[in-house]
Amino acid sequence: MKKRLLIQNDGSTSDVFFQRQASHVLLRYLTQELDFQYFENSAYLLLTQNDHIFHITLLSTTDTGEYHFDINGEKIGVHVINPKTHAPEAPGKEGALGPQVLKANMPGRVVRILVTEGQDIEKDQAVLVLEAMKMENEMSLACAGRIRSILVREGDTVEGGQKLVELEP
Amino acid sequence: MKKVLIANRGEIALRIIRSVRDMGFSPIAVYSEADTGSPHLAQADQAFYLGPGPSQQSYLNQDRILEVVERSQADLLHPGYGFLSENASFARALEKTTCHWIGPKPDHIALMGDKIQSRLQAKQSGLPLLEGSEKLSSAPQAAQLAKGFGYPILLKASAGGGGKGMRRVDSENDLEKSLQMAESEAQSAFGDPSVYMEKCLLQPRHVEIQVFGKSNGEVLIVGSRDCSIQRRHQKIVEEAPAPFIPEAVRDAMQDAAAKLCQDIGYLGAGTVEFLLDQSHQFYFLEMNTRLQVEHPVSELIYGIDLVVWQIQTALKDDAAIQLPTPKGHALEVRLYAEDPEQNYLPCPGKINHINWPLGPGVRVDSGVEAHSEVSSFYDPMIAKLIVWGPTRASAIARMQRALRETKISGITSNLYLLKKIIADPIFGKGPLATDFLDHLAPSSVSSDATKYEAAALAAAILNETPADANTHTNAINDTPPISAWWKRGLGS
Repeated sequence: MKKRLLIQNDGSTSDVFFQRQASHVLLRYLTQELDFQYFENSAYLLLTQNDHIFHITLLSTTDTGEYHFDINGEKIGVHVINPKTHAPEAPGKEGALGPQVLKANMPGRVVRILVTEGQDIEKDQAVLVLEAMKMENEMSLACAGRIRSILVREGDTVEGGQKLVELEP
Repeated sequence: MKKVLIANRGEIALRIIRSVRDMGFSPIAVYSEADTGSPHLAQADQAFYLGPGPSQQSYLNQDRILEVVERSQADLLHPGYGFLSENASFARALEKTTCHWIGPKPDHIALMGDKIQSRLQAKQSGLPLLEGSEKLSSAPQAAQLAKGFGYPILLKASAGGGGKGMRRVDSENDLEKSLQMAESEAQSAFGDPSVYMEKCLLQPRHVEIQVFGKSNGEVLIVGSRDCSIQRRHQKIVEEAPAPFIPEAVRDAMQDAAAKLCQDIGYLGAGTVEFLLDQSHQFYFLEMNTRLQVEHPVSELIYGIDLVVWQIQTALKDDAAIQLPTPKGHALEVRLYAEDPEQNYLPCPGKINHINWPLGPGVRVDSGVEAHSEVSSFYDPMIAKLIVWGPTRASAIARMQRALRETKISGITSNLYLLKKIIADPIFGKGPLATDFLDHLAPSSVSSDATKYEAAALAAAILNETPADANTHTNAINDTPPISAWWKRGLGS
């Protein structure tokens, strides 16, 4: 099969074409054309190219196409954008104008709420304190704005991913 | 055959079980609802259910554990570290049963557990101390004291330890809020909101002395350790012996630790912690009356088993214990399920694939395996990698090798930060200081550009859909539509 993907490394986007044939993969990436021999099992992927060996384990992925690999002991991240389904991002559609939501990044307990509804806050200002795994963590948002609503109360136990605070940028 | 109840979980429960078995004794485990499938259960002869996940209802539930002591007819109880290990009232309650407490005398746990009292005892024994306060009563009083000491200052939980409830304050503006947070953290972690203040040394090193008091009153000094590499006031890299210290200074610290222990008649394993400034002045920090997380580095250079010693002392069968001559150098790194890029936020979750290092000079004390769930109820430390080498340089090379062999997928861990620390030139040649991580350069782009090509290819292979696979040019297509590697990687 042949396949074309858009891949992002460190902010730059490149076209990747690859073709798989038995135990070989042909890769065209940036300006190079490379022929890799590959082997995979349930734990890792082993690519060899000339005298180079790449021992690759998948550390994590996200729904949005981010992949983190361990390659020869180093952590390398790439972002895959499928050209078929990927439309250029409409700037401002979500991020710039819509409300920002602070979510609990893990299960925990709301220890203190440091803001009130209607309050103007700065970027990275502490909004509330969440206790998880015995540590108190100050939570903040990556943009400035006005607190639209506070969805939890002090003492509440929250689930990972639960919405805590909504902000009007 | 003696029965030894291990009132703990995770890596330390397994580590203690190993010594119990090595002695030919029978290990008994306890577990919470969150630990139903934990590896420490598999290695025990019996396992008793304690209660729901939260520590208060399980590993800190004294009544329940005392009930298990009775039901299991355990001869000895090892508390590990954390949980009930420094709880004097639990140790006293246990002393009223036929089960022996593996640990120091309850009075010494109480004395050293109260950090304000322990400072007074250290002062009495002639140990050098940093300027500090007694229990703080109000924010204005704290502000007054801080002005006298000069900022920065540290707020510390009197019942504390392990960095919990500790906050650095750089100016009066932050004092009131930090005091409130420190008191609230102290209350929830230790059930006691008392907080005191200490002058904050700039760029100190953390150096500690391992001690062991035998039943005959003899105090063995089991060498020094450096634990300067810390995040959030908690150690992540430790080594023995502490490097880059003039021998006279090391001797003085060891003598001070011995004096403190002799003065109180200390029994069993303990650690006297010091801060060392850049001109090699040292100050008593605290004494931990338990087995320390980083005890394996001392075990490796002395060729001893501190848990076996603890059990022998609890049985008053420790006359034969002798301290061997130390050899070489040992390093330990603590592997945490946490994200160094998000201020070390704990990252609980399911471990998918795991590969531990093997080979000469490597020891892994782990509490997890593939498919283990890292629970949000407990400390996110999942394993310790410990290596020994004839010299510090050889131990560093071996640790780099061990870290390279280590793979963990499914959860975020601090593995890549640990690699960076061990490879860092300042770590290699010193000076070491507790603010080491603040000066570590942020992650850089890999020097090996072909790794990005390999990553692009790996991502492309993972993106192969069943439809893609069916378009293979070969007419006979026995390639599985979705690679096993792909499935494993996603944890499905």
